[in-house]
Amino acid sequence: MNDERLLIGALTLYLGELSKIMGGLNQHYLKLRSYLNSKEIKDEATKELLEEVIISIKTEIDSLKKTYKATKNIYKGLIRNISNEKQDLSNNSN
Amino acid sequence: MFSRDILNRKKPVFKDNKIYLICYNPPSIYIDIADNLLNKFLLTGFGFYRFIDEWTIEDNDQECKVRAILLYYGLPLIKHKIPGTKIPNLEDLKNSSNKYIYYIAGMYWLLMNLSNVKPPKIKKLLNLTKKVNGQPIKVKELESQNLIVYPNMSDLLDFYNLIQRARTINIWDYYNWFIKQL
Repeated sequence: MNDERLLIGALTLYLGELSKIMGGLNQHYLKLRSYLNSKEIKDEATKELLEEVIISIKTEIDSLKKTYKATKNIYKGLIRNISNEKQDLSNNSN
Repeated sequence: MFSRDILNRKKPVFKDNKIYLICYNPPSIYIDIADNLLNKFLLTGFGFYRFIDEWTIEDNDQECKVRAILLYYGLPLIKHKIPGTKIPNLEDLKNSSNKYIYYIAGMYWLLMNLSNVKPPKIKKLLNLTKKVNGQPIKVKELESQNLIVYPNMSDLLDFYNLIQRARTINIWDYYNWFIKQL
């Protein structure tokens, strides 16, 4: 197996794990947002603490999203390369 | 000559030069030494030194002040709000319209601010609320306060695992793993 194919295999797993982490963090994010939007919280201190945590989680998710997008582009590029190589090989053999 | 009162007074158990750990474990509150083998990880691994505050406890029927870290279901709380910061504190907790949500927000805040602490140690911190370490004590600042909540510890642990994975995930770990499989 060449390096490119190894990288594609690793990238597939990596993207899957990134997606799982983003999904998990998003659930926590949504739960905290629902607390913030509920009418139960009337004091500023609880609101402020929740807001700070929500912003921090959002920052983590956004950073993961950027990594995911960039990695996905690399992944697509590699797949494209391999399929072009295959195409070239089949054209040459014909 | 000493008066009878002074002679009868029991020697205080708590020392000025020690740092204690007060665990809020409803309906009781327990006190232990913070830097003993069992609890030292809180100071060395978690850096809870910044949560040391002065608390009033009852020692041999006398009130006395101790320097301690108060753990409220694993969440360290300082006594008063520090303006301009979001450090969880007892004053805000008491005034919160929803103590459970304040606790949860505080725990998320704590877990986001911790780095390089392995998940088993987080589990150990969360488990402190189930264990009865040290001796029961009365803490004046916590008296007559309805602060009981029912936190979901596995949810918090799940969040910490996710945050740690988010911060440490690395493509080369997967690449090397792939190579090893060949």
